[in-house]
Amino acid sequence: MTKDHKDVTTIIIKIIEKAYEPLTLNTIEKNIPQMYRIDKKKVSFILKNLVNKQSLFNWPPKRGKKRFWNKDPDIHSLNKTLEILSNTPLTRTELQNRLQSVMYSCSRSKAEEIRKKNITSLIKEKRVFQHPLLVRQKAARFSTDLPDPALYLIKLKTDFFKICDKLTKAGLTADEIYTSVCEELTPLSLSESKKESSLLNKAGQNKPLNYEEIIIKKIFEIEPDPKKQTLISIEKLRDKTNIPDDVFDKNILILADKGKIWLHRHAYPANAKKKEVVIDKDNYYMGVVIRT
Amino acid sequence: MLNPFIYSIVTDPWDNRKEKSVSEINKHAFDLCITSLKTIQNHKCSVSLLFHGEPGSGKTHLLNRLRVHVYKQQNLHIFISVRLQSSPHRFWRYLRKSFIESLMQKKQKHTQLEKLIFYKLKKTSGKKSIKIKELDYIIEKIGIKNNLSFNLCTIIKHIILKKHKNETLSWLKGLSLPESSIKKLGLAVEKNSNENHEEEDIAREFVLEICRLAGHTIPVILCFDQIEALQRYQEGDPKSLFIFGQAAGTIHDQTNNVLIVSCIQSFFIDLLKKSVMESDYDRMAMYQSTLNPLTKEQALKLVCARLNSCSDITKTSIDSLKSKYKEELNSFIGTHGEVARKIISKCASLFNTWGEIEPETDNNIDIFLTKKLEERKKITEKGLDPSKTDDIIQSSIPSILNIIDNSWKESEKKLPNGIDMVLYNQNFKTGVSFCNHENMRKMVFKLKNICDLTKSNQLDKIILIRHKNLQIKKTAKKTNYYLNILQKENRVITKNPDNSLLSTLESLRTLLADVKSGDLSNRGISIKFNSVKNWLKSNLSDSVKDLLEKITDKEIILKNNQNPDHINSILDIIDKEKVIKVAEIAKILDLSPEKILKTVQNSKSKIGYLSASPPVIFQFINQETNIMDN
Repeated sequence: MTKDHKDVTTIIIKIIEKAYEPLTLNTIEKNIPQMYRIDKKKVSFILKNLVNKQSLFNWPPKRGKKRFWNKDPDIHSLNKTLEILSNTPLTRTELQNRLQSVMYSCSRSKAEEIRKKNITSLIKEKRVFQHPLLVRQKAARFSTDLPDPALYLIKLKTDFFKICDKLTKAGLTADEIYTSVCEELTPLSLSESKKESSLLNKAGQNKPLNYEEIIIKKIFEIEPDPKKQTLISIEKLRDKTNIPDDVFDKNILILADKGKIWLHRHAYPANAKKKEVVIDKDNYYMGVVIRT
Repeated sequence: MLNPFIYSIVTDPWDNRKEKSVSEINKHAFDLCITSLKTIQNHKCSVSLLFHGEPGSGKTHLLNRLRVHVYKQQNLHIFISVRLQSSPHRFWRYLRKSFIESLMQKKQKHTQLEKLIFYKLKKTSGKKSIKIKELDYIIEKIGIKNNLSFNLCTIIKHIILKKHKNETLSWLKGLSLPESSIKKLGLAVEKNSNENHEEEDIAREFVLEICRLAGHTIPVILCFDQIEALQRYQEGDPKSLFIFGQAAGTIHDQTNNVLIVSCIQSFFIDLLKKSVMESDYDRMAMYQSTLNPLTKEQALKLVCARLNSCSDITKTSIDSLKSKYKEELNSFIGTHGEVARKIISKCASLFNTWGEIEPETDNNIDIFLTKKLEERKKITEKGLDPSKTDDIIQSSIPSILNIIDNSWKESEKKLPNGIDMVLYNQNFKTGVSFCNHENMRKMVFKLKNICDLTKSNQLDKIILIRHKNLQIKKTAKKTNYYLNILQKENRVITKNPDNSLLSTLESLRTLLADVKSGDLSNRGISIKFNSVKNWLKSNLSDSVKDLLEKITDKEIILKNNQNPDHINSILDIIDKEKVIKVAEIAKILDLSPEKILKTVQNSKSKIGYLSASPPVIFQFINQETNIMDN
């Protein structure tokens, strides 16, 4: 690579780092200062090299045009899927539409592909749950929360009150009917299986995600040689990993507890922005170093 | 029995305390220094290292360890230590002074400078002893080979012959010499220059000359510590860091035998990167490394080393202490590790508790700071002389003034002839001229320039600074003539600082520098800049206040010791955060939660308080105000 190419590569990286969304080849080319402009094919070649080195990522095309960004589209889409489904349960189509928007106007078919891939893996990991159909619902919904049983018991409740009416007229008290229902509905097997399933769900939810691995992977991407003991700022690492802030903070502290990284405190936390630090009680950590 | 953990801070690489270092602590950083020294000798090129770590992680200790190591080596190494407690506008002059102060440090019988000169004489002449009549020829040869100035060659001769020691030292430090001394030393008369940048150029050339004199066979280890202290203003001072970056780049490019070691706090690295040119950053940080917190095992080794170096504790007591410390450190140091300074401070307090010794610490930060200032004043007063006036005032006043009134700053623009420093705010501009010359020819030249300046309206006020002990003789006719003219000018005033004012300023300068660099701590906890700022605003001495009033041309009202500033700081934070835990804001502002609550109670109209668990404060929006606004 010539010296000129090195300069252009640095400029391209900076342009992409500043961008708020994935950029097309044309936009990148336009943003290169006049004195550094080179042939479009050469820009394309540089971008290809950067993608191969994993400094940049290929993003789903917009109107057929290739796009590039420094955030991994797979991680981004996965995080966004979780974020969308944490608010309210959505159908496949609703989720797909939202994904199309958070993936910065990718094609409908691409959004569908992402939705299928993410939903399958997230359900498998028990981080997303498919809710059974309710009365009058035609399509299943998905959410990060377990379905609310109360919604499914409405019919049962109405039937129960009808039976209560009948039986009270026959001389039974409401308490006696309720005790009897409880006895009927809580056989040992059911409660055992309930316990088991709830434990499973909990385990599924708390199952250690691979965020720790993602963070470690990114640290090595920024500084491949741990012997150099390079300090990586929390802000940079946060940007690179693209993990939700609270999850990132938690996993950084876990990694430090496990003795995998050193944490460096900020001397003037009052001057620091929130994304520049990870807070643990009274400590404001601003940087990490891989432990050797 | 002396507490072996009493010293928790290594303030100086020249510190000669005999506590043993634990070689495995910060081993990678130390090894990097040694490898870099080899690279310099093998490849004949300068190398730069940048170390970063939390306050108390052992940055200065690492420099101390490096100094001890190179002093033990048979090959001669020159070790220079620079604590950047200077004005960025005097960077090279300060560097020259620090170079000489380090070169005058003794290694066995001789100073580093003498060793360097003797080595050069021996190498150039090829003999063990030289006759005096051969001396001129050999020095000339050294001068030509290393491209040294005539004046430096002359000074080298005086050093060898041990003549005119005081004058020689003053010249080496770049101080103003009277004409009689210049004649006595046989130096070439320098042209009259009062331009600051020219004086900086001369100092830069001198530093590079010393590096050239050492040559590639003698590595010069140049350590920059307290780089944070270069910043004059709390909100950041990129200009000063830019100047540092340029200087480091120049040294790297124009020498082939220097190991530049820079030490900064971890949080400072991004700011440094943003403030200096990319090319300069690459030159000052060819290799980087961090100084990490200590693990439990490392901490225990450190404790053992301290206990073993203590001669007045018996072996049995040491063994029992070790096991007690092991137990305590296990709970004190978490999985995240802890910095050395905090560990040593903890050990010191445990040692006091076990030995039932009353600790000499102050819980009240204001009392602690006042005590520190007084201690420093006593030390600095002893070594003060009028030649230090310029440096002390220029390096301390801009930051002190900015703390008292943050609308005041030092101008970065080209200075008018005769003026050394311009301080300004939106409405007023004051020029300060240092007239502490011993050489009356230079003084006249400067005063003449100031007389010309009074004809223009460039400055609202001009302050001439001349030390009280520097009298102007009646025989200095031209000097007195120009001074008389200037005294008739309303805009020009003269200020004669005495040693007491200078020692206060110097002590404040070092105190602020230590705080900015995280090197001032009370019981192992670094003092926050905000605490010093609040303390200074209510404890400024009358003499300093008087000087600041002369500069700003208005009365300075010192803040009440208590609340107003705390309220402003609290308001600033809740404006950003909206809701914050009391404990959290107390930690940020380095105040006790009780003090925060007291302040909040006194300003109920501005800050809301919720006595939940944990208690929180929040931004209080006055409904009446809203209605009025609507």
